[in-house]
Amino acid sequence: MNEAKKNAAAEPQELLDEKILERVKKVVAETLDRPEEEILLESRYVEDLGADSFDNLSLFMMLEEEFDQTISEASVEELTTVGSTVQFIRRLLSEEGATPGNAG
Amino acid sequence: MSPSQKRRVVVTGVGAVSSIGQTAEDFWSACLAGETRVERIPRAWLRHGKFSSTLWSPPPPLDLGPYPITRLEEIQQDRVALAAMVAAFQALSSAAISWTVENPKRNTLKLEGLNPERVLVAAGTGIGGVSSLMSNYQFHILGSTKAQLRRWIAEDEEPAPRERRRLEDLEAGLEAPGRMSPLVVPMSMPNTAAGALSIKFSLHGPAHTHCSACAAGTVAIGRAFQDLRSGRADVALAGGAEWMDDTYGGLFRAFDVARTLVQNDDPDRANRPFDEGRSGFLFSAGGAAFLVLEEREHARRRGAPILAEVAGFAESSDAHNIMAPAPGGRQIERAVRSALEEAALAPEDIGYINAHGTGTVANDATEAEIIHRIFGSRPAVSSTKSLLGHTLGASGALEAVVTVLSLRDQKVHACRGLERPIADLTFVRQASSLCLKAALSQSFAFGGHNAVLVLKEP
Repeated sequence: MNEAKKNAAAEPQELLDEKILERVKKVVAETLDRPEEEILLESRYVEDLGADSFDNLSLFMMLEEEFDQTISEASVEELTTVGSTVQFIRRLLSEEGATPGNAG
Repeated sequence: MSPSQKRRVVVTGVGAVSSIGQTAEDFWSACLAGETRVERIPRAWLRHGKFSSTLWSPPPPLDLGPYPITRLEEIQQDRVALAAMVAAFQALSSAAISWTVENPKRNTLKLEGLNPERVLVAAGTGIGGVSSLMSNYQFHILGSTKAQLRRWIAEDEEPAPRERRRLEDLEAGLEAPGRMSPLVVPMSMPNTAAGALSIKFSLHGPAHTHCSACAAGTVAIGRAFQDLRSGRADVALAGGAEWMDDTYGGLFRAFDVARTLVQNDDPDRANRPFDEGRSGFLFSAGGAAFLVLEEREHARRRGAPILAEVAGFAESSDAHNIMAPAPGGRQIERAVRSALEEAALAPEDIGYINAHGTGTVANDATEAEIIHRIFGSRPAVSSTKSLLGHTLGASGALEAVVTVLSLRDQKVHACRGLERPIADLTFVRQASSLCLKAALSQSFAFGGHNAVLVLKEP
């Protein structure tokens, strides 16, 4: 079990969500070149933050790097908002999500 | 005089990444100091096969910190393209060309004071983004096997310790990324570096890839020179890059089974171009070099530093054998003489030859014979591969950088490892100062491609 997963198991959900949100916001800001204050839990990548399909791809590659996780193509299509991404990453970190090494 | 005869081409900037220096100037200083980096191949490779050659020069560290390259670009580009970018940034800085951000989201740049439609890219490479292709293929064939092994290890409630350890060892030995990158196709393409440079610097001139194995870097520079002379563009980013990161050593093994690599296992004495004791080339896993070539009046108008002039270039093909030079080297000789003729220089004008000098028995014998036939024993001769090993498609460009800086500083580096030279040539035994007016850089490749550049003082 890696460090992120150990921490995920030990922390209360709300606190964990907040920490994940903070990191997701940073990645979204960096990838889409938007100010962090514009990025809200309910922000939609395409409609609100102006992402195109290549941006979406980039975003999830950056999230994989940031959280040291693998995100399958099928999941990427479902993750359209910041909030849904935070929930998805929490699930991954809690080992409830994708099967590592079998997502491609 | 036709318009193309009036146009002359100069080198205004150089950049390089190599195992002995992370910038062109550090690389050049290391060449003059006779530095080299030779190591034993990784032990992990031995698990997969027997190797006849046991030495290599590993990929250099690639420090992206000093350059405007984002974390996202690092994930989305093969290292061959990143190395090309690093060398290109250095070359542009050295040519006094600055940049501004063109598209902040994509982190693309615009080169100040240049018409982007008149700037071309010419990138040489032997095998392009081969590391990305291999690592993603590793996932393709090993990903599900690894997952299955992990399930077996996890599901076995009362494992026999020995069986469990075996499964764990097996699983740990199967290295593969966690998924297939959605960008594996563009990352693996031979033209990945040319495309990346054109996009990064928003250049709209042609962006060519020259895939002529060990001559690719020299061919890229030569073709860019021809394009600038003929008026197709005013400025070129021309050079070569290679990056052969390989978890399992299969790529090294491919060269090894072809019996092209050094056979001596003494790291200090294995790599010996032009020596009687040579036994093959030192596999050098990565490097890149790019030059800014510029039409001379264009360079003068913007007050650019002029390091050297590209005076001539010629190519020929042996049409003999896919891996070995034709005995007698008639086509190499023809290329050398054509390049000299284009430069309007006689053999006696050439003060230094940066030889292809791989260290293979056949190459060095043929090359030494031709040098002697055309130039006699007068010019100084050294092989940059005696220091770096062979970086395939990057080598010609790295050697062009060395030749340009030799002319600039009037210095030549030594041909390392020479104990019993194979020919009566003036091999450089230690770095020294020389009065140089013109120099040659030549490359010969698998496929029978021969390419020769003539450079001279500006």
